[in-house]
Amino acid sequence: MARIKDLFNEVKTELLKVVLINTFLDTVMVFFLAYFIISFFNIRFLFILLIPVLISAVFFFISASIRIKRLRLKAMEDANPQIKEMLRTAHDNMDEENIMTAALFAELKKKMRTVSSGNLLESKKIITRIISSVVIVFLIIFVSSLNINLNKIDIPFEKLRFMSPRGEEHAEGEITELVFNETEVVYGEASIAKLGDEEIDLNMNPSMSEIDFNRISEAEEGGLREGSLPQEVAVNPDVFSNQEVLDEAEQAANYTQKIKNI
Amino acid sequence: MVKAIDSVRNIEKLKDTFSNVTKEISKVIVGQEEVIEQILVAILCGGNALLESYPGLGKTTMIKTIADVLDLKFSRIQSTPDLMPSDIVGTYVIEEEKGKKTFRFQKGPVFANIILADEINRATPKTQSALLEAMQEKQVTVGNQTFELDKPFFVLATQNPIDMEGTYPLPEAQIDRFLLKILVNYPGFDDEMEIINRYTKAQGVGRVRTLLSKDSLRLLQNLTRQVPIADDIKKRALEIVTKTRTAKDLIEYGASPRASIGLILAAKAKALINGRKYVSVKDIEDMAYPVLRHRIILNFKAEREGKTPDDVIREIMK
Repeated sequence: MARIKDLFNEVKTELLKVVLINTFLDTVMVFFLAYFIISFFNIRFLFILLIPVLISAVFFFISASIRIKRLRLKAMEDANPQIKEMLRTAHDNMDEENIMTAALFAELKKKMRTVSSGNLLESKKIITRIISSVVIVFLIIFVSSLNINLNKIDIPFEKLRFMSPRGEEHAEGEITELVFNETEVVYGEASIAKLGDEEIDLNMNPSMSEIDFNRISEAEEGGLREGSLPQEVAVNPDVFSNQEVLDEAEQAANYTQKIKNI
Repeated sequence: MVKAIDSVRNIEKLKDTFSNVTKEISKVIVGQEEVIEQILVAILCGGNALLESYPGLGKTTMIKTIADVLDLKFSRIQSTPDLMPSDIVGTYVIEEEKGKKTFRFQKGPVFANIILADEINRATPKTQSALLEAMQEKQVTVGNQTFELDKPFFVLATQNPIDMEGTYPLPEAQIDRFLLKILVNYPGFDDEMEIINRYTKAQGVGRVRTLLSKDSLRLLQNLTRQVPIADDIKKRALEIVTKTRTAKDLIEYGASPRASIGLILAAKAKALINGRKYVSVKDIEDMAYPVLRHRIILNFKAEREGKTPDDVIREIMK
């Protein structure tokens, strides 16, 4: 009877292999899908990689454990319907010792020689999984290489905003906004005011620009002529008045004072 | 001939053995393969069978042929209203030997291996009881002496589904003792043509060969009980029997636990005859009809709808 038990152990090992292969393929698909979806969110690159890895790892363990729990002779029976009843009978009568069960085990062993994990893998399902993964990968490559500018979705949950690139500025103790009467719009946000004190990392993505480094030359000297200044700096002569100049100068003085106090 | 079944290789040969038995019987009996298989099932299970058919369908010939092929002693009892229990089991007769008179037990026809009790429903309940007691206990008691019956012992009782006047229908409790109720139908056109060809020739039908001995039959009976069965197939059998008790819209009285035992055993025997070492669901479903059809009583609604026990069994197996 030990031999038939060994046979069933072999069968279980084959089934385990099949479960792991199927789960792995599903996990690969889940990883790519998660990566693709998360790339639409306004998230730092590190998290774009980390989140799919976490999701697929959790999926792998849950899926594999559920499948292993369900791992019975059913899969083997489904793959080999001609020996389904024989297999089930042998399994239920493993401890019986008589001439009939011995004959049954002998016949089963003979038939089981032709059964391996190859018989258990459903080629259609595997091909579907591989094709799905390839399609998702193609979509990811397509979206990133053609530089399709999609509006990134902000993370809707407050607690998860730390993953957002802007989320770093919202740390405790820092200025989120500088309210300065009604002129806030004119002077911008507090973060812009703080930029002067901080180092800025600028990443240049060649695929997103058309800069030809061979054509870069020294900056031209330019005069301060009308039209060369940004609109925010230029003064419209139609609305110019001494009083306005004085008001604005006062506002500028107050603003500078406020900045110093920060 | 099967002499000993002590190795797996012998088990492999069983299919051929049963195939040869069926072929040998078919030298005399044309068609009726299902009936022959069911009779062999009953023999392997050590049970008895109730055969229901119209007259002239070759029941006696069939049983006689099976007895010859299996090397069993055959006897026939024609049941009539004046048939007494002693006519079946035997009686004490006074014997004179050397001027001295002694009682000697004269064995009745029940002391055989295969008994054909023709038209059992024509015998009185008292006589029926005597036979049914022999079927159940495999022994008979005359006076204060008990006699063991030959082994294997198998009763095949027949009854006619028509012409019920002057009959004593078997009570349900006694009908339950039959493992199977086998229905013998009219042969098909081609089979009947073959029958008339065989039985109207000058040389007649040849004799059949003996293929199994009593001992090998006992071995096979023992082997039948050893056929392994899966738990879910046992459950399926039990579900079918249990449904006969719960399907109150069709059945007034369902089958007893004896039916469950009978169904499993019959399925095992069928598997063995077909050369399988395990019982399949199909064995259970095929044997459900002969095992259950005489053990269920249809209610008025089912009878009014013209349903037969087989129709109802088919419905509950869906």
